[in-house]
Amino acid sequence: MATINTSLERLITNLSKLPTIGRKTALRLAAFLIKENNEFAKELADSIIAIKEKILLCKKCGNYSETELCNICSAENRDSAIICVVEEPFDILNIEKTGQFNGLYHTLSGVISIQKGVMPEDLKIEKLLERIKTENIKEIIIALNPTQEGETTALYLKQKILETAAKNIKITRLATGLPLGSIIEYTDKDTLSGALANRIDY
Amino acid sequence: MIITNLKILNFRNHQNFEQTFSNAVNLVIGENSTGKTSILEAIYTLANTKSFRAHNDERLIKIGTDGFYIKGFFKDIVEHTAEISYSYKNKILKFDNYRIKKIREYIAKISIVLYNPLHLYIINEGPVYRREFINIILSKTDVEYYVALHSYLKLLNEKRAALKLFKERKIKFDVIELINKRLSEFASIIVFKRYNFINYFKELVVEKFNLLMNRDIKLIIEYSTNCLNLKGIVKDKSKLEDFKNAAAQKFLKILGAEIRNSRILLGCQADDLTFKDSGNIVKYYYSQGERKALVLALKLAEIKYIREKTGGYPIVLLDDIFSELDDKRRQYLINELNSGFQSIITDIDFNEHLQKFSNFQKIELKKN
Repeated sequence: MATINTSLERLITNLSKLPTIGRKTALRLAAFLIKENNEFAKELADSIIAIKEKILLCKKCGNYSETELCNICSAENRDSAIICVVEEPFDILNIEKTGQFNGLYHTLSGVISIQKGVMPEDLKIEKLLERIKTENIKEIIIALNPTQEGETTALYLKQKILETAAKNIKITRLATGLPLGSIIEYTDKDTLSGALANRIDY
Repeated sequence: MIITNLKILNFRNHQNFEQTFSNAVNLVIGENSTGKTSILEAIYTLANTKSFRAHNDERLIKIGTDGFYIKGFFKDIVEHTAEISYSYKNKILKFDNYRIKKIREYIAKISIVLYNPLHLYIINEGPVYRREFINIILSKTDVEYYVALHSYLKLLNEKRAALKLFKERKIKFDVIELINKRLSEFASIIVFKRYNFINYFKELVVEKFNLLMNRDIKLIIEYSTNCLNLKGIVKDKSKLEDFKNAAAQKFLKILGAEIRNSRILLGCQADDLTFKDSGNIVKYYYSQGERKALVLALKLAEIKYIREKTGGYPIVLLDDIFSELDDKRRQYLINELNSGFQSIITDIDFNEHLQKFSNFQKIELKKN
């Protein structure tokens, strides 16, 4: 094997540790970085260091934040009686983009998967239950992915919320069904049968 | 649905093969090891994404090459193409030039029924083959079943992992209980659908078998499951809820024993079918020829069932069907195959029986 420059090798190895990036892509990225001017490399390196130093997890909801409480939890105009439970902080970003939801969030940072060794204790479920006890919450929206693990976690959450919440609390789930702008002819059958089963009054 | 054209590259012993098919009977004639079954296998692989006789896709590749490619042109109301390519453990499926990422989007697109001499294992071997037979038919005609089955199998692995972890005290009881409850829900959907399917399907099988044997046989097909007492099941869907509750109770009751033994004792992964003739179990009682006729009856019933459920005939693939059948049964089968659907039949030579087909295309394979 031809010898490769050690600092280059180091960069390629590090880049290929990133998700979805294999060695081939890492090589291409490294080649690009070599050609680019120094400012770009500095800027990139700085931005990476900055997220490690500045980004924290919000103490209340687990969202990414630069302050102790994220800008959603600290906002005054949001409805604090509704909590939307999501799997990862990036889900919050997506839901926020819709502009439809004006409540608060709670991040579980994962879903129950026994085979992968993720137990309920590893998720921020206790924290959610504590929020339900101490804050005045009327509705919990479960916005977990409709995967096998997501469904198991949703059911677990439902049981735990009903066990702890003495007051009447409403538990809802995001609807599953046809994506907007889709054509029924090209929709896969089980999405369609789910949409039929969960049809709504119109 | 019919197949109009098939292209194969580096699949089994075919290097580069292309063939058009007529919409009636297609006879593939060739000596041993000329690749007759491989043609059927290629069509089967295209329809079901995997082979019926090799569990490992690597085995399908022609020796000395890196991968295979199959493309089929199909026609129902409109024309479709399906492609499958496999190389370096990477399988790509395309339907109408559109890349399919999830198998469940693909699974019911091409409907086929295959008869292969290996299928005697439905009668002779363990329950896994009988469940597979039911699973393939139901998955292709009922999406809800397919989804339930896949969810069930995933949850079953979760439960296995959970029981193992519980022994090491790494998991709490309420999590196992939760998994168990969800498992019972899918199990009841599966059992409910299997039960109703068998109830309907067995009539078709008995009808075909009696016609084939030219006798009035009291063949009984019994479905058995350890999930529940089946007596209470009715076709009515509103009863499914009661059924789910009953299953949930039974699953909960047995969970203690499962935890003690660290293994799963209950579930529809242990379901079975039993074939009986006048109280005798067919597996021990029937001759080789009778068993073969019964498998054939199962397949003919499958054709009828798919036709009833989907409104179209499946593509019928019959591998080496005429050997071991006597004249009467051959004649019946020929009449049945003359009734207007597409079939692809393999045989070693063009014998006098095959000449009885009214409308056929002959495809001869030579050793290369």
